[in-house]
Amino acid sequence: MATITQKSIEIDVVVCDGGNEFKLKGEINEDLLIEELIYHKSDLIKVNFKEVVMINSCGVSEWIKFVEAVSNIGSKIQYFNCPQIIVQQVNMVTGFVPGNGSIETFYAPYFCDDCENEDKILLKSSDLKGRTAPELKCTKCGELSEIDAMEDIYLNFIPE
Amino acid sequence: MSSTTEKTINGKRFISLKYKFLVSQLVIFSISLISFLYYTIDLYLGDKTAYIYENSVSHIESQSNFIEKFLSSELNNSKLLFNTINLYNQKSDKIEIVEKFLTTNDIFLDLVFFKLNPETVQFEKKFSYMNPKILRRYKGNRKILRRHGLLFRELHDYYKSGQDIIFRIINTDRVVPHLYVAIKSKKKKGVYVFRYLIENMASSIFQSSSFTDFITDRSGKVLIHSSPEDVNQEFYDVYSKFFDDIKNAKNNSGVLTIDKATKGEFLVSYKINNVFGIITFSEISKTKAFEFTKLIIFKTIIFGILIGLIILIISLIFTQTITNPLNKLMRRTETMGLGDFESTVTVRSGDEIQLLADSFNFMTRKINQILVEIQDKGQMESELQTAKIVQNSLFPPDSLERDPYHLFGFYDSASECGGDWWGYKESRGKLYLFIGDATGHGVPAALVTASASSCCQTILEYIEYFDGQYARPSDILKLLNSIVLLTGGQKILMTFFVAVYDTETNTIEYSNASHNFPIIYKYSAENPTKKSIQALGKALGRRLGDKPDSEYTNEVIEIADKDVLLLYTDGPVEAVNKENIIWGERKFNKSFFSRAKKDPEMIIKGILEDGYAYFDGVPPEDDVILVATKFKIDGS
Repeated sequence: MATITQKSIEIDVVVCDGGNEFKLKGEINEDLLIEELIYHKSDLIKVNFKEVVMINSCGVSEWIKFVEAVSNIGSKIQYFNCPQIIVQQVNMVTGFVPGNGSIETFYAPYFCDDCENEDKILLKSSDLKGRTAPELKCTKCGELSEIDAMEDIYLNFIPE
Repeated sequence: MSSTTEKTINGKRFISLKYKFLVSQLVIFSISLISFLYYTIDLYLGDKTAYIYENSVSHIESQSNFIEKFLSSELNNSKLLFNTINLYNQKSDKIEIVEKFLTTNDIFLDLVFFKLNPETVQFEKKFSYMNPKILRRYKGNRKILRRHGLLFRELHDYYKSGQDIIFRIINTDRVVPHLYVAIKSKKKKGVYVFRYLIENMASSIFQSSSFTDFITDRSGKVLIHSSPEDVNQEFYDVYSKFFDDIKNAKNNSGVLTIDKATKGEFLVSYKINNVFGIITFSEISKTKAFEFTKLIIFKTIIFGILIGLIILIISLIFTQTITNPLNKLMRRTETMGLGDFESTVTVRSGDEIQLLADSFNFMTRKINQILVEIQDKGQMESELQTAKIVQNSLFPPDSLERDPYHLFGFYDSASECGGDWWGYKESRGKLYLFIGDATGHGVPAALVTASASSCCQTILEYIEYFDGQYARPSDILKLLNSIVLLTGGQKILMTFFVAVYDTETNTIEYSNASHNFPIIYKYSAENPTKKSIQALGKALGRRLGDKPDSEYTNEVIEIADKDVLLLYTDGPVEAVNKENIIWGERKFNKSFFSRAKKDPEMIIKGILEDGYAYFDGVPPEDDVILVATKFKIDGS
C-alpha cells in the first residue's frame, strides 16, 4: 500500500483484484495534485469516495482532468461508496464519470417523516431497477423512509 | 516616544545611558578602591607598626648590649689593674704600672687609693694618678674631673658591706660622664677607685639619625644622651610617668608610648641593665617613625586615583562604543516616527548591538515592505471596489414584473468580486434567463463571468439587430463556451444554465452546462410538498470553457399558471452552520416549496431568512444567487 499525502486529501493506493483501489480521505479541491494519482494508474481503477467530505468546483475540474487522463490511456474507472456530494457532481457535471466509468455503489439520503431521522443508505447501482429508489424502513422507528432527494434527479446517472 | 530634546521620558528626567554607565563604574570603582585601600592600608599599617616597634626594640637591645660589653670590659680592666697594682707598695711602681696600662686604654681617667684611717674612721687619699692626656683635653673642666662623684659616706657603707667591688656611671655636673669602679683592698685596708670616661662609648653608639638615645641611672637621672636639646625639667616631667611605668614593668625591656603634648607622641624603647644600674632607652617621634609609611599610603592613594581616572577614561570610551550605536538606533526610531522607513542604521560594533541594528534594519525593511503591500492592497481594494461597481452594473434590476411573469433575483458575493452571475432579457415575446457560476471566486472568476455576461448581452443585442431571430439556449451555450474557453484558458470553467420562456407557447426551452439543476414548482390547489417540485435535469452538457467542441442540447417543458421557476447557485445549499453541517438540498427545497404560492420576492426573502437562520452567523463561503420567476399565464 502506498499513501499519497497532499494538502487537503490523503489517498491510500491499495492493490486490488484487476488493478488499484484509491481510497480518498479529505477534501477534493484546487490543491489536488493529479500527477501523483496518474502515477498509480492501472487497467482498473477503483475509487472509494467514502471519506470524502467536500468537493468544490475547482476540485471537480481537477478530478475530471484525472479521469480523462487515465481513461484516455484505457483505464477503466469504477466509483464506490459515493456520498451525496459526489452523486450530485456525477449527475450535474458532464465528464465527472468518464465514458468507460461507472458508479458501483453510492449513498442515498433517506428521511423519515415520522421521526425525522436521516439515514445514509449504501445502494448498489446494479440492484436498482431504473431511476427508482428502493423503499426502506427507518433505522430508528421502523416506519417507511423515503429518499430525501428528487428521485429522478438523484438517480440521474442510472440508465433509464 | 518623547523626543530626546525634551530631556524627559514619561515625565521623568532623561538620563543618558552613558552617564549611568559612568556613574555605576565610578561607584563600583570607588567602593573597590576604598575597600582595597582600607584593607591594605590597615594591614600595612599594622605590619609597619609592628616593624617599627620591633626595630625600636632591636635598636635598644643593640645599644644596651654594646654598653654592657663596653662597661664589662672596663670593669675587667679595673680588676686586672687592681690585682697588679695591689701587689706594689711603692708609688713609682704603681705609676709605672698605671702608665703601662694607659698605653692600652685611652679612656682611663684616673686612679685614687683611699685608705681608711682607723682612728678617724675617715678615708684619706693616699695615692692618685690622673691621665695627663685627658687632663689636657679637659683643661677648663679639671676641677670637675677631679671631683669624685662618690661620696665618702657611700665608701664607708660599701667598705662595711660584704661587696668586694662596686661600680656605676656618674656624670659629674652633666659634663663628664664616666664609669666609677671601686674595689676594696683588704690587704691595704682601703679602696681603689678607678674612673673611665665613657664619652667615646656614647659617641660610638649614639649614631642613629632616627632615634634619640638616653642612658640614665635607676632613678631616672640622665647620664648620657644624644639629644640635641638640653635635658631639662620639662624632660623629666614628661618622662616621670615613663620611669614609674618601667619600674613596675615585669620585663627589662619594652616599648612604651609617651605624649609630649606639642611634639606629639613618641615611641620609647628601653632596656634596664641591673648589673650596671642603668636604663638605656631610645625615643622616636611617631610622626617621624610613620613618615615613610604615610608617604607610601599617600602615594598608594594617588596611584589608586590615577588608576581610577584611567579606568574611567577607558570606561568612557567603552561606554561610548555601546551608547553611540544606541543613540544611532534612537535617532533612527525618531526618523521612523517621522515616516522615514527607508533609511538604514549602520553599526559595526561586532556585538549584540550590531545584531540589534541588523534586526532593526530588517524590521524597517519589513515594515516598509508591509507599508508598500498595504498601499498596494489599498489600491487593489480600491480597484476591487471599482470592479465590484462595474460588476454590479452587469446585473439586471432585481425585480421585473410583467403580465405573464413576475421575477425577483438576489445576489450576494462571498468576496469583493464574485464568480456568479445571473441576468435576464426580454425580447420579442421571450424571456431569456441566465445563471452561471465560475470555478472559484474573486477577480479571475469575475473576469470570466463578465465575459460571459457581455457575451449574453451581445448575443441578444445581435438578435434584436437582425430582427428577432430566435437564439436557442444550446446555441447560446455554445457561443458562451467559446468565450469562456478563450478567457478562462481551460483553467477557469463555468457552469451555466440558459432558459427561454416563450410567452406564446407557454413553454420553457433550456440547456444546461453542468449547472445545478433549477427546480420548478408545479402549481396545484393543494398545499405544496416535495413532490410539487421537479428539477430541470436534462439537456446536460459540459461546463463552459472545458472543451472547444462541447455540444449542448435543448429540452422543453410546459409552463402552467402560477408555476414558479427557481434558479440558484450552489452557494446557499452548500453553506454550513457552526457545526459545519451544510444546509442541504432537502431543507433548501422545503424552504422553497413551502412558500411557492407567494410572490417571487417573498419566496426569495423567505429562503434567505431560513438559510441565514440555519447558518447562525456563519457567512456562506460561496456566492449566493437566487432567482424566482412566477408565471401568470391566466392573468392571475
